[in-house]
Amino acid sequence: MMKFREIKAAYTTLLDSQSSGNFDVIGYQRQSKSSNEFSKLVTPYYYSGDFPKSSTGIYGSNVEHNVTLMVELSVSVKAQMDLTVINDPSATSTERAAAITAMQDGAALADQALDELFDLVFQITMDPRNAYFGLSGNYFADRFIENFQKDSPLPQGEEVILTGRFQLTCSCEEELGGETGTAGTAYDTTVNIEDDQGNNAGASGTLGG
Amino acid sequence: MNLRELAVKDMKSQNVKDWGLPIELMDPDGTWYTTDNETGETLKAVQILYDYRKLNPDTGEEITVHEPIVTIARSSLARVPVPGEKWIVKMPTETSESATLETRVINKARSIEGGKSLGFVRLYPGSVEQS
Repeated sequence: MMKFREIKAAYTTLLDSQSSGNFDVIGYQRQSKSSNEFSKLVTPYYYSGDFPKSSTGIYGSNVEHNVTLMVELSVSVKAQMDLTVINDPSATSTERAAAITAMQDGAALADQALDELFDLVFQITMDPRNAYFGLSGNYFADRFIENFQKDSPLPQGEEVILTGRFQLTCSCEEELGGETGTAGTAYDTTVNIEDDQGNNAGASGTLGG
Repeated sequence: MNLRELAVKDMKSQNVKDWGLPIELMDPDGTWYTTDNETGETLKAVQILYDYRKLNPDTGEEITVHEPIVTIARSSLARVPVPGEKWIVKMPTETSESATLETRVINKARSIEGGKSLGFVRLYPGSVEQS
């Protein structure tokens, strides 16, 4: 298996194991997802690879691979308010007005939620203890988050949905395994003298003293 | 009454009769509106839609969203919501007059639409959870 596949799998496992329940991780792109099935979602996947041309790559056994993983962040957020006041038949109009004034806008909460999610993922990814995503040392090098981009909130929907993404780059050497040979025909090379009538093989002697 | 006024009147009466479902509104001052300001009957929306839509965000991935839309005749309301205000909407999430009303909110996250051409206001209720 090429190393980029193992790097991506290890990174997905790392995020999942260190999420502490703060977000969900899916290690592949889905055709679509529903806004009410997630609140905070991280989707890492292999996005692109760059293979600089070199003599060792063309004629040798290793090819340099500059790996780019795309990591997409998605949050789906509801507005928040004190619903106990709204649902209390005995609440006064003043109390209800105070509750509705204190309502937190879903868009504001979504913006905050995405910032928090990126904060969490960045800390996990760039922690020096996670430099190799749990793989053995020197498996790959120079993992780095080069940028982050936040999108606009989706214009429709009961929940406020906000997405963002960053590219995670690293470099590794892909080993070329070569072709496995096919075993040839086996020949028995044992010398088998069946009948030595002329004693041609000679007799073992004893060295003189 | 000219044709324009007649169209506004019919838009409400015909749709409330055929498509109307009961709703309750609460304005920013905490006042509940549960009766039609014009007829005195139970306040009903002209139309409530419960469709799912698929959106393509900047990532190119489709996200399916549930988008309820509540259309109310302006003449049914003693106070009409305006963009920027926070309102509470209690609406049925099943297409039945006897369905339980669930709480939704109108806030700045999604602005109110609709106009006075046919005398209606269109609300986009959002989900809300306990803070």
